[in-house]
Amino acid sequence: MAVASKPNNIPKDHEERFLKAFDEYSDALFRHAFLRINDRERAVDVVHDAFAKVWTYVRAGHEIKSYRPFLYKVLNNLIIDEYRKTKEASLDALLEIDGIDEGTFAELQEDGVDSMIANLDGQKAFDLLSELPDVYREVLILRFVDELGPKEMSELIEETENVISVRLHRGLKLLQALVEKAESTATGKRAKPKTT
Amino acid sequence: MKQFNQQLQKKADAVKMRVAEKRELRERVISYMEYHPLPAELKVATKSRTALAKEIMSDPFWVFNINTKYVQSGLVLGALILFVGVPTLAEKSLPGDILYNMKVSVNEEIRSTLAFSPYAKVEWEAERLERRLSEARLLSQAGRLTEAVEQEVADAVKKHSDSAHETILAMHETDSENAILAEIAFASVLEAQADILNLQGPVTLAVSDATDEPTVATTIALAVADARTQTENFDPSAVTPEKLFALIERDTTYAEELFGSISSDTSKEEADSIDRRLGDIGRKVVLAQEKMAMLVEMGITVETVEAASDIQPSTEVPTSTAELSVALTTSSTNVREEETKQLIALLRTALTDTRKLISFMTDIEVRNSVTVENLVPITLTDEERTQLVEKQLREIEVLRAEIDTLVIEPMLEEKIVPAVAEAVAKAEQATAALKSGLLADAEVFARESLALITDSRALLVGSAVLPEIISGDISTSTATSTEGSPLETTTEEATSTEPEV
Repeated sequence: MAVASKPNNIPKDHEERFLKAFDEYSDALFRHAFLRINDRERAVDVVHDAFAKVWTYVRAGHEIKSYRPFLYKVLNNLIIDEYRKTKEASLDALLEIDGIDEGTFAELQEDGVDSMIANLDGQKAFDLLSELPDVYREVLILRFVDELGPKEMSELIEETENVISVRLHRGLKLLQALVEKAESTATGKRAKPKTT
Repeated sequence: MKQFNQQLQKKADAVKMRVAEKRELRERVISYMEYHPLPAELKVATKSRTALAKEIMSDPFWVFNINTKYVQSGLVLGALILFVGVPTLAEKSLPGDILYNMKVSVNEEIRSTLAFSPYAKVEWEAERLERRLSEARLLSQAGRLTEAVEQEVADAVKKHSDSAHETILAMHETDSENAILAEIAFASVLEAQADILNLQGPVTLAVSDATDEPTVATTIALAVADARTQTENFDPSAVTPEKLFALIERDTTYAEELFGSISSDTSKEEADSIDRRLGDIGRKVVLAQEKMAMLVEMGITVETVEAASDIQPSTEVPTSTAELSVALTTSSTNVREEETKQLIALLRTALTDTRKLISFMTDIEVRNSVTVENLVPITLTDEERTQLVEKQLREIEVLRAEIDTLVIEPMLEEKIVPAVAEAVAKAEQATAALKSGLLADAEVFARESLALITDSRALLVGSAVLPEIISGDISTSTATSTEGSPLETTTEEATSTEPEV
């Protein structure tokens, strides 16, 4: 963690600290937002809104010990708001599917995730992320792009680590299926001229 | 796994804001910050290099920011507690308490340094003495009086009386009149306290657990008695009565004030009896004033006689007139001296009575253990005395009538008849004296007559019980005003004169 790793370098001024956080995390936040909502301009706006909200919080006299998780939290809430505006119906439907299921034992194993991604092509998987429902995309981005730990993720999206583990597992499964599907269509396309 | 992560990361890293986008976003955020500045209290003042250097220097130390207002009020509060609270608490302490030493060696010493004149010093010593005694009474009431404390109190009594005497002696050399006055005042305090202790003796003894050994009452009372014997016998006539009057005036005013303040929580009887004593003191003062007026008049006549005798001292004429005037002067001077002594004695009694009353009213322990009747016996007014004599005369009449109806045995006849005759004669003398205003004579005659007639009747009836009945009768009938009065002595005498008859 960036903040924790530089304990001697904490600026004393609120403004200074805030701008430092902007310089450190704005790129990562933009990436996260862009991957979640697939819209460059909107992603920039959301990041701006997140910083504005955090600044308001600072002005109210609150002390922010570590900016990174706080910024992610605010950003995540804004992205969910964004979703509600655009894809309300589909999001609700997706949440309904996920919420009830407790998940199988395999899905709760972290090893399972590791073995699954062992055979997965990262580049292809990245391209197909946008195809996934947001609940799965969210956890996958937080885990593999933003490289958050299970505990941080659970605090951020306010779900138990088990639920996150299940989502990761299912997200990867879906991703794997999508990758395989894409591969098969690609090979099909390549094979087609041969056969035809 | 590593491969997947790396591949994904590589692709993700490619997702970036363009430089222009980032710059624009930064500007937007900064302008937002500018439009919504931090409130003043959150702003951290930019520090100069010296300030920073100072910060580094002082870093290892703790810095407490205490508002000077709190410091000041804290100091004031502390000072208040130290200089007002603790001494006030100490004032209520008794020997053996933690704060007692403070009371005796701080509070009281400070007060004695505030007594500037020697006279005030003597007064303060007297008050300290009274305080020690009242502490002893409180302790004895609570059953906390140990021998050690008792000895301490006795020592303190000695110390204060010695100190008072020293001051008085020193004063006598420069200002003899005030020294005598101080002496009188101090003696009155001692006398009042000695009387209280004497009256209280049994009570204190009962409280203290040591029964055989000399106890509180005795040890302390002895100390007080010792102090009394020390009193210097200055010639009291050197004091002008005016000063004594002033002293009494001050004390009686204080007593009246005290009476006003305690009258709400005393029983009506007690209040009445205290009021009566205050009245007695007042009458004594009035009497003293009359005496003084008389003395002044006398002084003037003596002076004129002296002046008359001075006119022709050189002539050779037989000095009979001169001798006469000298004799007159000496005799009148003697009378004057006698009268002055009486006057001073009267004032001293008034003063002592006032002191006793003050002690009685201020010291609750005294009030609990001593009755005001015992402490300050009533002084009868002339009117009351007249009434008493008249009453006695009526009783003599009744008894005589009763004797007339009885058959006198021949054996007793020679005793009874002259006795009754003498009694009747004395009763007549008493009546005559009463008419001519000689109250003291009338009292003596009436008392003797009553004694004779009572005894005669007792002999006749042959019962020794009778005089008691009569005495009971008399004392109840005059109970409201005559406890400890001459009347009681009358009946006592009646019984004691019996063998004579």
